Amino acid sequence: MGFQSKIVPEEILQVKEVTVDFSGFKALNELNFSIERGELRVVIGPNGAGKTTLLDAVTGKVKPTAGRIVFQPNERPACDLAHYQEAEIARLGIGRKFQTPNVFKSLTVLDNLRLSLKYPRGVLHTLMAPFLQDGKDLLAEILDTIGLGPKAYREAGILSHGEKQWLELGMLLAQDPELLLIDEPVAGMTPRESERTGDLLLAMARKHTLLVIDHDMTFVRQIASKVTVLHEGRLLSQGTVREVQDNPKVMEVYLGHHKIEKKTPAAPTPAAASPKGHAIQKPIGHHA
Amino acid sequence: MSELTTEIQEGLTPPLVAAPAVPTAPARTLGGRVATCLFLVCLFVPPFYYDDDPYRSEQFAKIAALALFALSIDLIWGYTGLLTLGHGLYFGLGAYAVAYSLKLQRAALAEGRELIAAPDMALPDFMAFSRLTQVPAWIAPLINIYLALAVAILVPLIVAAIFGFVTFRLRIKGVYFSLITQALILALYLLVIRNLPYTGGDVGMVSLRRLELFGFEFKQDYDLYFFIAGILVVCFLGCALLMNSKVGRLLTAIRDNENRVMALGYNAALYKTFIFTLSGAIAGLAGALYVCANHSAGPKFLQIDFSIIAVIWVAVGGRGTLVGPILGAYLVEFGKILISEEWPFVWTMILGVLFVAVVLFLPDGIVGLVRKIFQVAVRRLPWPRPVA
Ligand SMILES: Nc1ncnc2c1ncn2[C@@H]1O[C@H](COP(=O)(O)OP(=O)(O)OP(=O)(O)O)[C@@H](O)[C@H]1O
Ligand SMILES: [Mg+2]
Repeated sequence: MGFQSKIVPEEILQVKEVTVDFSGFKALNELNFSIERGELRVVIGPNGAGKTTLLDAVTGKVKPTAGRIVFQPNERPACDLAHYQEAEIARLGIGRKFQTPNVFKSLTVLDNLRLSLKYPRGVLHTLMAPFLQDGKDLLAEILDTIGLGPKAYREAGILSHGEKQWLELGMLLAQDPELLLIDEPVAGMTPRESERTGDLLLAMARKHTLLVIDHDMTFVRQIASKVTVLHEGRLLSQGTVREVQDNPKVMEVYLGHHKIEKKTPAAPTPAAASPKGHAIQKPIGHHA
Repeated sequence: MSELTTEIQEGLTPPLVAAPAVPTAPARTLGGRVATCLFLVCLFVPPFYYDDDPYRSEQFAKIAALALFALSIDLIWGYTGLLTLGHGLYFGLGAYAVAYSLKLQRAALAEGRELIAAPDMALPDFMAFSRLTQVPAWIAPLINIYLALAVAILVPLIVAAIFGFVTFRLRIKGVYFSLITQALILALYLLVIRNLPYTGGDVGMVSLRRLELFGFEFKQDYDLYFFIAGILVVCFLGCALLMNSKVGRLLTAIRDNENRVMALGYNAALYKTFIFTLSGAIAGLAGALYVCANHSAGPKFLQIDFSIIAVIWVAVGGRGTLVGPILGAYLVEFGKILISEEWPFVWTMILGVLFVAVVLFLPDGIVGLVRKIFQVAVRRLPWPRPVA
């Protein structure tokens, strides 16, 4: 965390009052939150909390029904992402790792990385590109970081699940974006693989801003400094891992998940323990 | 050596900054290259084998043009994953452009006139039958074969560019894309058969003049075969270059996972438009060459079954490879000739069975099968080999 203090805190992404409405169901409900440059932020929340939808909204895959998402608000022309298409948003410097491994299965590991390298994305430029010569040093470094050097010429489709996830993280490194959005990187991994992934993310965080989504509290503790909890499309709590774990509202939404080990004092009714939680459910019921 | 460098640098810098090298590519592609070269050389064998049979040579010249057509479909379907079921549209546009030229030339030569566009130029028979008094102004200039060849490439290119841009922009994919390609070709088919005075209607244009370029008339069908096969090989090499470049990988990436391509910041629609446009132009050229060997052009190119059979060639040969479509077109079309000479009526059934069999048992076509056999052989046989 020492590296963070060197950088002047400056917001890189602001999510303001964002609502995403899937024909009556609000996957995001007037969500507010922001990330600072250089941060490694973890977003947690129960299934269906809207975590993936949040990433969809930032990357332009779904358009928010209301609210604004601003990328690099302090830059000269601040980018309201609503005005950009998916590929344009990626070119602005927002990279994304989807929840399931998303590699190009019939290309080799190396070609997967090569296509991700930060070169102009236009057709003409791609036509002229010296594909095999481009970016050798960076590629070598990335292969080393993700540990796939010996498999550089294997087809990505035959890699194991964990290897595919690492390859995808490597693709993000090659893309070298300002902001990295990573959805459940350790889902389906063994504890050892998951620990390696954590190290990889920490290494990535030295040079990039990361937003990581995950459920697994062991993993969250390994990597996180600051955690944001989403619930039913809203921000439920935010703070250090400790603070968040001790928050009674968080404990309540996670009760069924056994992820927070601290005991709750007697099971209260939802309304009593969290008047806000009650208030959240009301508009949804109203719409449905 | 790399281990040594890492060790030295580890003292100075964190391991992330150490500089290992990208491993070199394994040598396994060599076998494929040799096989491909052999295949290309073999393309020039048939005329020698059948050199006393001009009829066979003509058939092979047609097949070579069809193979070029198959190649154009493979760029779209095999590499980029867009199943086009109406690619005959572009083939047909190219075919008609050259057919107009050769038809006008024949009419002019019959009246002993010069081969230039003029208000009083000779009328081709189908225009005369339908009481046109002069050749329409948009057809007349095509009497110049060079112009006609240019049009045969440019018109399909432009149509493909517009069609591709619109459909890909609207993110039309999968079955919907296939259906739209069919709708478009159906529209053109109806347009052609209902405008007999301008297109020759159901019959099209028959008994065309032989192709003459730069004062050389392709009198022998062997000459034409070498000409077409030569163009086929040039196009093959061009496509090979393209497909082994960054664009080729990107197209494969689009086939595998278009969303991921867009998340990387590439505008997938533009890349698809690019390859569709190129494919349309090649299909147009194929149509033009086919007409030169066929000596006639008709609306059968615009019928949907023609486009579907072309897809079958690609499937049989092996989609997503460049040898595949050519091999498929040669084998299926030559097979058709041999079998329908013996038993004229069973061919369609055989074609249907063949297609089902390929889809079920050979998803990567003949090329895929050969590759697999080769790989197994390399693994099983005790010859010295590099360790991957
Ligand atoms: N395209 C869509 N149309 C309708 N509803 C959707 C759509 N996408 C997501 N949803 C709904 O929005 C809610 C939030 O989904 P989201 O995928 O963001 O959850 P999540 O927090 O990522 O959950 P998980 O932990 O399971 O990945 C879910 O209830 C889901 O059913
Ligand atoms: Mg999710």
